[in-house]
Amino acid sequence: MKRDNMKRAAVLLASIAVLTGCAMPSVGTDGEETTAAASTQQAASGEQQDSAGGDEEIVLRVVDWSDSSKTWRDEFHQKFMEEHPGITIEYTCLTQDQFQNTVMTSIMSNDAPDLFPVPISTMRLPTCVQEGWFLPLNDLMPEGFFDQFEEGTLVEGNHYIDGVYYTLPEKAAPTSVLMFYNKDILEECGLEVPTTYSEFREACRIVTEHGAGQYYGLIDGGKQVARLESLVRGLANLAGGQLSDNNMALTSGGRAPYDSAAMAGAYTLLSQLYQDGSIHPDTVNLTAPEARSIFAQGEAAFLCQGSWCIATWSQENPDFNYGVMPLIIPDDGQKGYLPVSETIAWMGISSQTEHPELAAEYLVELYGEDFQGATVAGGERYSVIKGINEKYMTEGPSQDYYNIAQEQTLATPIATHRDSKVNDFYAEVRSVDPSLGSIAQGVIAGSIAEDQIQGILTELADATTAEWQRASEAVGLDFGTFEFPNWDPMEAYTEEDYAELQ
Amino acid sequence: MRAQAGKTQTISARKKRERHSVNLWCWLFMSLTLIFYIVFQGYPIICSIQYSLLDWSGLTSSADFAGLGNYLELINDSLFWNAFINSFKYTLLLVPCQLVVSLILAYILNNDRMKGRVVYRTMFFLPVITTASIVGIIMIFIFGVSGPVNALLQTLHIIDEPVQFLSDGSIALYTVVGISVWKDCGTYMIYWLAGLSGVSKDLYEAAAIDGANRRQTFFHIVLPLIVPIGGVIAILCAINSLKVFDIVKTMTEGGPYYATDVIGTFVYRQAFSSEMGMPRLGYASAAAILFGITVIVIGIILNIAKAKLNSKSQI
Repeated sequence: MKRDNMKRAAVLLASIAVLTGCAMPSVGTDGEETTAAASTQQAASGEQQDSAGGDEEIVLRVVDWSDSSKTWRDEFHQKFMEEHPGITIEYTCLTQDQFQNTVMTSIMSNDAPDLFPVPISTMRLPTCVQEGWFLPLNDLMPEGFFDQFEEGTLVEGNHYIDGVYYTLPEKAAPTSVLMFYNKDILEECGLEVPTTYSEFREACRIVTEHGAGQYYGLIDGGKQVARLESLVRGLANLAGGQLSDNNMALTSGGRAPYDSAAMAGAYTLLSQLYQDGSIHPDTVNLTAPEARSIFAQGEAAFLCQGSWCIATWSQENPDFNYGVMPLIIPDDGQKGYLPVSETIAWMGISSQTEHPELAAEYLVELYGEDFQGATVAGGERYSVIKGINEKYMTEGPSQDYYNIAQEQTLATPIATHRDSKVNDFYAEVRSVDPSLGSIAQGVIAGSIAEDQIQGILTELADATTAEWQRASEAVGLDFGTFEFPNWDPMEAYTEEDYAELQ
Repeated sequence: MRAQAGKTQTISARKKRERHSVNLWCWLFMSLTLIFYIVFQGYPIICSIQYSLLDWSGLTSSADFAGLGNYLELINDSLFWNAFINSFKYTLLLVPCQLVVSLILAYILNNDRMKGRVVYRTMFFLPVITTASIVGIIMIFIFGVSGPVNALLQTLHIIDEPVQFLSDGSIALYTVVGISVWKDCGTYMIYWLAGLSGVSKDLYEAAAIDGANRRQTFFHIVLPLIVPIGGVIAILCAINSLKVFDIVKTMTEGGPYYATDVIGTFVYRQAFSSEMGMPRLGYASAAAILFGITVIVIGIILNIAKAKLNSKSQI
């Protein structure tokens, strides 16, 4: 009897163990193998679908971080599903951080969504292509599809490599560091729109004093250090700091230009605002969307973010009375411009997808006039498709933002244009902490005093220069590639300037 | 004589078979746990050790062997040591508070004459089953400058200016500790209640007959009896608090300016995000392994201390 029980228990345990083993996911480590596996799955799925007589429900999984266009996307998906019976769009909108952390895991475990963007904060297209994450789009997209994009919006290394397209840009990005101001608060305090550091500091001080705890001068998403980094880079660039966009490298005099007077000036301004009590006390603990929402509730006079705020406010806070203003400049005048942002890599079709044609159709419609026009009209974006902005852009904050961005930005040098090996550098280089954004967070939290700023920046510049040199050596790149001695920060950097350095 | 020897042999063989049978059953019952442990704990630990020796982002198929390079780099990484120290600070602050608060609650709610004690127990346990991320989001609002805590303190004229509970680097860690105590005290209250239920009712009655009040009964009779259980609870609490991640991640992300950065958030940041370039899974694994070794050493020390406490209480 005992033996029988034992046998039964052993069989039960063995069965559970086998079932457990069967359920373990297999993780592909080799890009080519992954692609092959995906193709096999695709074929198998095709057979399955055929045998099922095409009645099987198809789920197209799309993941990105485009929260500001979510309303339009939901409508777009609804329409897409109505027009394509039997197809369900499973759309997940994450923050960039969440995307980074969760979707990456799904890619590694061969469970990638059908469509997803390049995780731009850590990876570049060449690395993604090397890893076999995306399908080439050339054969999947209809003829002439790529011709409808505005000139210069499809960039080598961001969207295509050697003529093979892998990703598409989401939207044109004039700059993401202009400022918004609350008209009611400024009017209540009898203030004009400030233009310089001193005027801004004074305006913030008066607003905070007048607000008596109800509202403050400046608010921002200080929990997302990348936002703070964008702000200080922007301020420093207008002061002649000669910096690149976030996540990119440029040197000045052979070193990372993080301890320049322009950069120190930007941090000093933040420190002074903190000392005046002019920064919303919750700033350090807010994400960018939270700061955007609190700003619209009238808890601060100024906010520095991108044009994506406009659509959200028009939907969620239609009565919010605000304006767009240029990013403030030093008291002794503007000595540079904000860099014209390259259109960054965005959505591509996963090499693991079972429905590449359907995914391509999704992209075709996403870049169609209906969706692009609606988002431009709603102030959510400036489209990368020819003729859409002219046709659909409406007067108001969206147009103001566009115009101010045109005035305050100029083309600045980009190292990848000079040598494609720089992409290898970006795959090799390591982040140096505390970063510019973290230091800014320390300043507005009062953890870094004004007199400590220069020392910390010099330490960061030294450490960053050393790391950039190491990474350059590791990939066989001339460190001088990051130096553009013929760059005048008050002039646009042109193709002729690049040619002059060859 | 021979028959006697044969009988002894038979008994001994039967005992041996029985012992084998018992052992087999033990292994059988343990096997499922063992399998799950190996798959979900052992294998990842071994992988982490392997990764810690690699220069690898975790995203690409190419990984270079780095030997002890990651460990050597960690030793010189001031942010790692900041997170390391913060983890211990958090533990040192949390464990005593947690033990005391949960013991007080357990002692109060252990009173048979108390009406609605089951309801109170449930109420104190509710935060335990609430997701940490939800707690984090709510607490950011509650402890915000215009949140209800500051409003209450200002209404009661306890403070003039709102306190920046989570934005001020000098008090953010204390705020996180306070919220963690609130969130987890229900678990430890249950542990204490289990310990208190082991104290005989006769002892309470005897103490009452001798004229001891509730406080005297607690300090002179109950506490000495539950100290050994307290040792176990302290170890569990210490180990759990050294592993803290979710509440810090959702509330402060380790900020402001690394003031609440603990090993969990440090490892997460290194493994999954990067300001420039790719994340560093190898480096993150090395940090986790190094810290894990420290926790094991502390666990051993605490176990020894607990054993001593046990032996003392038996005397």
